[in-house]
This record gives sequence, structure tokens and C-alpha cells, in this order.
Amino acid sequence: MPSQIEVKNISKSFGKHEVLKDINLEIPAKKIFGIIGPSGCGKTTLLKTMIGFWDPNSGEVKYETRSLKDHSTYIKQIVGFATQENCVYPKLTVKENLEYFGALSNVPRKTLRSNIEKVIKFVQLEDSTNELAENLSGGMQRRLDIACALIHKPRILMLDEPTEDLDPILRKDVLALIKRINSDDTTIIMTSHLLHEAEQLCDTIAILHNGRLLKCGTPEELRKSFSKEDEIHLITLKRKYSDLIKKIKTKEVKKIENAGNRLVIRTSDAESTLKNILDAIRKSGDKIVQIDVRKPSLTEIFESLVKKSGEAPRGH
Amino acid sequence: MVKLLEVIKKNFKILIRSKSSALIILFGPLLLILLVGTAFNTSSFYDIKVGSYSTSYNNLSNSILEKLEQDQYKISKTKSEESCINGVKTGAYHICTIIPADLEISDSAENTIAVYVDQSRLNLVFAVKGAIIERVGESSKEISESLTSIVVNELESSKNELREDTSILMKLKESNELFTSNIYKIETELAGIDLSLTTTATGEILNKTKELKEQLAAAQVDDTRKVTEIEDLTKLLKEQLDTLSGASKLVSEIVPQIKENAIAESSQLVEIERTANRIITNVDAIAVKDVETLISPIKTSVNTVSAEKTHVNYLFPTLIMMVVMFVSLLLSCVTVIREKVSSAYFRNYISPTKASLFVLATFLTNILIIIMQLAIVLIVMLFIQPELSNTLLNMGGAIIIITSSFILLGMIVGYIFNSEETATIGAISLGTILLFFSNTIVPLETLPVSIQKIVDFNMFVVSDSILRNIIIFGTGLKESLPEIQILLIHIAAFVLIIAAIYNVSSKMFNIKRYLHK
Repeated sequence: MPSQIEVKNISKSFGKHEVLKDINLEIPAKKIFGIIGPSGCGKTTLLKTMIGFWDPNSGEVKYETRSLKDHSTYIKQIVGFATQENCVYPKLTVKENLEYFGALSNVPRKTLRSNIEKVIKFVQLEDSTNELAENLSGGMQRRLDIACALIHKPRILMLDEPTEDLDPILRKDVLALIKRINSDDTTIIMTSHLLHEAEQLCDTIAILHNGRLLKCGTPEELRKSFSKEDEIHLITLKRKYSDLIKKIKTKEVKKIENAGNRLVIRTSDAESTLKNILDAIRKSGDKIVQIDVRKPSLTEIFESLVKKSGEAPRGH
Repeated sequence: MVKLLEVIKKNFKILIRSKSSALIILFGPLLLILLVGTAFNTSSFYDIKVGSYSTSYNNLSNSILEKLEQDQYKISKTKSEESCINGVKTGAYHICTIIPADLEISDSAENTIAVYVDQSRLNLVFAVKGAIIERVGESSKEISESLTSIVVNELESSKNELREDTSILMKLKESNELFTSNIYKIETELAGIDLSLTTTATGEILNKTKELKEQLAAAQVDDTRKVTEIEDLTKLLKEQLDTLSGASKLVSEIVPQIKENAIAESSQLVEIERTANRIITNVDAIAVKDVETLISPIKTSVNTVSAEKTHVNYLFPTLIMMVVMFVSLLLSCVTVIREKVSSAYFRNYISPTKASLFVLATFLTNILIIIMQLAIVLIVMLFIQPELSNTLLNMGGAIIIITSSFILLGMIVGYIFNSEETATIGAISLGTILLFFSNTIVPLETLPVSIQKIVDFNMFVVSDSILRNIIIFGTGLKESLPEIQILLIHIAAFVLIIAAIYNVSSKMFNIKRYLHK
């Protein structure tokens, strides 16, 4: 699939402080692309450089083969951006904010009216159309911010930490909203330091650490690159695992760890190992209380990658 | 155009929805003009406290103080000279007058009234000092008039008396001349009397009588009585003639002396007459005998080049200027900085809209607000001073140019600073500097020439001058063309500066914000 956005060798420094180092990304169209990493790793700077707010020290960004430097007005027209600070005017109502930013994005007056109606409905702010933005709740403000980013029907939507500072219920709402937007064929580029959130939502994930791109790929690709083994977590009724350990030991089983009340088995073939475990338990007359097959989490992958890079995270 | 209107509309909504901003925008100018109109719609000074000290007051010193009291000055007599002077230092009195003990008008008396003022309150000092000295001067003039009147009257009456006495002098002179002429006559008469013959004649008579007597004796005539009688008579005659001769001799000796004296007196009388005539002529020759003219031969009168008005009328151009300057600087810098620090600024930046549109919209928003404020001020002022309606067109034109220059300057301040607090302080400081180096606080003439030359380009001074010409003297914009050109140069320079710093300022601000995160 041809990439919609190409980031080539982008580096950015503020004075002596090097924030981004030689970043290369290829972002496919109509997908959700996540940029993950801890706070201060350069995620926001990367997004703001990609939209042209910051000029890169080196490298270039291309949108649909057009260079950002030469086609900034066009690119601003096809990109929507929602930041973590909620870029709206608190003293304007929901409708007024949308009217204002719609006008700035060259949306014709008639189209703007229908866009406002649609977007308000889409972000579920129908009851708050004439409310001042400052009177909205945190989640509603975030939705308004996303609505402002969508008012000109952008083909690409950049979301900087969209669930930051939101409670779990609001976070769930926003994530659902992102999925709805994407289902409308809008490419989404989002940053997050909540790795499990990105894991759930993103089609492609780029892992950023101290301004460097550590890894980029689908969640599956990332897991595979991290480890080919699965983990089986087992808890039985009797919780006596010594006989069981002897019975399931095969060449596929790489490691068995008795962690008190549970057994953790690392295997390169989860299916055959599971079969062996079930047979052994049935024969011993014991019963299974809980059994999980776990793939390595994004957090584990990230931690492993950071460890490999040998650099402590900035600001930690 | 749609975008521009949308940005201006947004700016207005934000300003009006912020309660404090709306209050300042709509009610600020009204409140200001109401206060100023109420406070300064008079041509007098009120509640001016004058401290006074004298070891001994008399009628004269009290009359001076009464005059001041009549002018609504509050007079306080202090217990000591020091407390009076200290009162000025502490602000208890605006002015202190030290009056000499038993103030009187005489050659030897001490009659200097010392006036102490606080020079740091320049404008008030000039006004009050002038009024006090004027009142003391009035008393001094009255006294002077009375003294001069006595001198002039005495001179006039002396002249008249002298003129009357001149006729007596003439009579004296005439009688002296008669006397002298009589002396001449006596002298002539005396010279004509020959008393030298008397002795000879009487001697001959006596000899003849002796001969007669002898002849009679010879003739044997016994009776010689008759001859003896003749002889006795002759002797008597001789004695009388001798006495007369002596007297004549004495008169002949005295008459020349008397004649000399008479001649001398006559010449003295002539001299006195001449002197008297000269005095009369000189007194007559004094052209000015009017007492008021004599005590103040040259009079000064201060005439105004415009019709006499109240303080508010004179203050109006400066008042407008202060409203324009401070509101423009503060409003524009606050508008810029609020936009710059606003989180929505980023969304503006990433929208497909040119930066110049935002700058233009900010400028137009500010100018519209200030024109709206000034319209309120002008409507109120038209009730106080209806003749202002004649200058509205020129004033409007001038205000647009003046306001534009101050708004652009305020915008520069907004782009330079990174927080509302520092930008506000910056704008106020800038306004204060411009105000301080103008005629409003200290006359510019008190500044060194080199600084004066720079201050001539002070936007406040230039703008104030334009408005004064239009409002007080009713001139048109053409008459203020050089000042308008200076403002236009300022405007052009400010536009260039904004064009240069707009992007840099925003980027720098965001970099700082990033680095301080």
C-alpha cells in the first residue's frame, strides 16, 4: 500500500536540545497510525514538525508526494490537528468555534453549516451547541477540539495524546470516536504514552524513545520482532505443579517457572504445549482454575527496546 | 474578506464575553469622561490650603489674608514659621506665606512677604503661586495708589499755592523797584543841595552884624538889641545848618548802600520769580498725573487666543490623547498576547490562512473598539461643549491616524513580551515614558535642547499638538500636516517591525513554552 505521508530523515533541535533524530516514517492512508513513547520523547514535536509548525533542522515531510515546504497551504487544507491542550476559544460557543475554524479553513458558508451539524452530531455535542467551550466538561472539550479539527473534512487527522487527562469512561468515548472517524476513511495519526491504548487502537505503531525511532510496524510485527515465544499462565485447583512440570517438558517448552500459586510456561508452540497440559491435568485428576495464553505486551516490547538502546528515558 | 470579518467577529465576542474587558471597553470611557467632566468643568481652584505665619498680624496683613479667603483659599495661621514650611513639605498646605510682623509701609519697615512652595507639584505651584502673588500684589497696589495719590496731590496743591504767591512776589518786586527809584531820586536831590555856602554866609552875616555893632557903638547908639537878636539868630541858623550838613553827609553815605541793597534784592526777587515760574512750568510739564498710571506705567494683560473656557475644555485634547494612548497600547498588546498565549493560537497557525490576516484583524478590532470608546466620550463631550461638532470631521481623521500609530506600537509590545503581565507592564511603562516626555507633566522647555529635539518626535506630543490645534483652535488637518507626516512615518516603521517580528515572536514564544514544559 503506498504511503500517504512520508517522513524522511527528520531532525529537530531547540538550541542545543536535540528533540528528534533522523526520523523516518511511512504512514499508510485510511489507517490509524500510533506514535508511542514516554512523555518527553518527542511525539508532539514530531507531529508539529509534520504539520509545519516547527521547521525541521533537516529532512522533509511529504503528503501524497507533495512536499510540505512547498505546499503548506494545500497540506493544511487536508490535515486536521487536535492537540492535548484543546485548541479552542473558551469564550466562544461550540458552534462559534466550529464556524470560526471552518471559515479559517476555507469552508464555503453553505457547506460549513451542514458540516457543523454533521460534526456536532458525530462528536455527540448536539445538546451543547450553544454552550461556551469553557463550560464544557473535559471530555466534551476534547470532543469539541476533535470536531474543530474535523470541520473542514480533512483526509488526515493528527491527534496528540487524545485521551490525556481523561477519566476511563471519557477515554473510552474518545477512543470509540477515533474508530468512528477512521471508519470514514480518514487517516489518523495519534500519539500516546498509554501503550496498551495504542495497542488496542492502532494499525501501525512507531515506538519513539529520546527522539529516536526504535521500531515501527503493526502490533503483531512488533511482538514477533520482540519474541517468538508465548507464555502460558496456569492455575490448578490443587496447585501442586511438580508432577505436571515433568509431564509437559518437551523441546518446544523453553522455560517453566513455578511462581507460587501459578505456573508460567514459555513455549515456541503454544498449541501442542496446551494439549500436553490439558492431558496431564486430566490424568492427574486435578482441575483447571485459570489458563491464559499471553503474547508479549507492547509495554514489554517497549521496555525491552529501551533496555537495548541503553538510554534512560528523558525526563525520568 | 469573509475570514477577516470572522476573525474580527471572534475578537469582539471574546472581548465582550470577558466581563472585565467589556466593562473597560464600554463603561471605562464613560466613567472617565463623567469624572473628568464633573471634576474639571470649572475655571477655578478649590480647596487650596494656604498656611500663613506672622509674629504679629495687623490690619494690612489680615486684609491680604481676607482677600485670599474671598477667593476660596483656605487660610490656616500656623504657630511657627517652621510648621508653616513643614506643612508644605507634608502636603498639609499647598503654599506657605510668611508675613513680616506688623506689616506696614514705611521706608525703614520690613515688608517682604515670603512665599514657600513645593516645586515638585509644578503645575499647581505655578497656578497657586500666581494667584497668591496676584492677591498680595493687589493689596500692595492699593497701598501704593494711596501713597502716590498723596504725593501727587501735595505736588499739585504746592504748585497752585506757588502760582498764587507769584503775584505777591510781583508786588514785592514792583515795590522794590519803586523804592530803588525813590532812592535814586533822593540821591539826586541830595546831590543838588549845596550846604557848603552856609558857613561862609553865616560867617559874613556875623561879620556884618559885628561891623554894624561897632558902627552903632561908634555912632553912640545905645540900643543894639536888634543887632544882637540877628546875631543870635544867625548863630542858631549856623548851628542848624551845621546839623543839616552833618545829616546830609550821613544820608549821602547811607543812600548808596541802600541803593545797592535794593538792587541786590531786586535781582534776588527776579531769581525767586524765575524759580517759581520754572517750578510751576515743570509741574505743569508732568504729563501723567493719574495715580494708577504712575504706579503701574506699563500694564500687561494676558489675552487668550481662544475663547475663555473651563478646565475641561483645555484638558479635552490631552484627555482624548491619554485615553487613546493608554487604551490603544494596553488593548492592542493584551489582544496580541492573549492570542499568542491562547491554546487556540496553534489551530489558527495550522489553518490555511496567512499570518498577515490575523495581524490586520487584530489591528482592525482594536481600532474599532477605540473608535467606539471615543464616540462615547465625544457624545458626552458634545453636551458639555456643543461647538465641538464643528471639528468632528477633522477630529475623526486625526484620531484614526493617532490611534493607528498607538495600536501598532501596542501590538509590537504584545509580540515582544511573552506574558500578559509583562506585556501590560511594558505597555504602561511605554505610555508613561511618552506621557512624561510631553507637555502634560513638565513643560518641554525645561528639557535640554538635545532631548527636546528627540521629544519633538514623541508620538504623544505630536498627537496632542494635532488634537489641540483641531479642538481648541478649530484648525483643519492641513495645518497639522507636518505632525501627521511624523505619525505616518511612525506607522510605516511599526508595520515593518511587525512584519519582521510576527513569525519570530510566535516561534520564540512556542520554543520557550516547549523548553519550560
